[in-house]
Amino acid sequence: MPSYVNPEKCDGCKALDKTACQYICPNDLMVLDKEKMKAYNRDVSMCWECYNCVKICPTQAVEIRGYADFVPLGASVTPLRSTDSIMWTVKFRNGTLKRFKFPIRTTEEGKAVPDGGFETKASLDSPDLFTEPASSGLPAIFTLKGGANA
Amino acid sequence: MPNFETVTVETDLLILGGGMAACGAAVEAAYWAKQQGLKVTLVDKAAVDRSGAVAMGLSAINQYVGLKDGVNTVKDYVDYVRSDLMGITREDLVANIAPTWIPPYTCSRSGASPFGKTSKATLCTRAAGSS
Repeated sequence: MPSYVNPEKCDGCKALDKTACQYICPNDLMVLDKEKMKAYNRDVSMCWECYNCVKICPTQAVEIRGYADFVPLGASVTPLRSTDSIMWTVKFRNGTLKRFKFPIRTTEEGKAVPDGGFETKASLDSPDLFTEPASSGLPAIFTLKGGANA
Repeated sequence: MPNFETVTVETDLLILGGGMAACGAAVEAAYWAKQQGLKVTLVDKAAVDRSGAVAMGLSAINQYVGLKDGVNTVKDYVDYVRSDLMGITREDLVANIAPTWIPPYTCSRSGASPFGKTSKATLCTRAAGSS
């Protein structure tokens, strides 16, 4: 079942150039109705239920109804993302509530260290990647005797 | 259909897609390209933040081998991939990629692997420049 926007919760990301869901949707499905300042999914048949718009929405306005085989009618699975964790609220149709919280990590754009601090000794003549073998933690990269690269 | 703006970008190496494999290829390519004065460009149809299957949470933890700490062997990894692909796999190729892939976020977690400790695989060292 595709994502849908609850118009009561959506604020159109307060007239920014692009809404968060427009930015993240891999299928370019989310659009903003600038008159009403509400986002919506323009082609539900193309939606993969990837949950990207659900997770990124700052007002929790986007929801997905799970398929009935694992999310029966009346039940829901809702994520809430903060800067260091994501919490999934699972509501069963008998009213039982369960919450699962997992840590998440985000590296700020431009802050990733390409070599990860590992020694870069490889040369272009070698099949090793540029941080190998240091990044593997092994003295040398292993391969099977008689294997494809032997 | 929206009217997309066309932007022309000249590049030496074009990487299509921004998932985990493409980002890895871009990091590797950029290291060598910088030395050669070449330009690398990675394009994604949407946002790299959530591009590809791994960013959505698929199959990343399953790839933990932990060779350096002796958590699993290459044979464990090959067994896992073989059963995951229902027996249809080139085991020599799988074995050769297994040890090089150690996700940083699993390194510090002991017991995070789906495999148990089993028999040791026979390995030899790949000589530099042998490919």
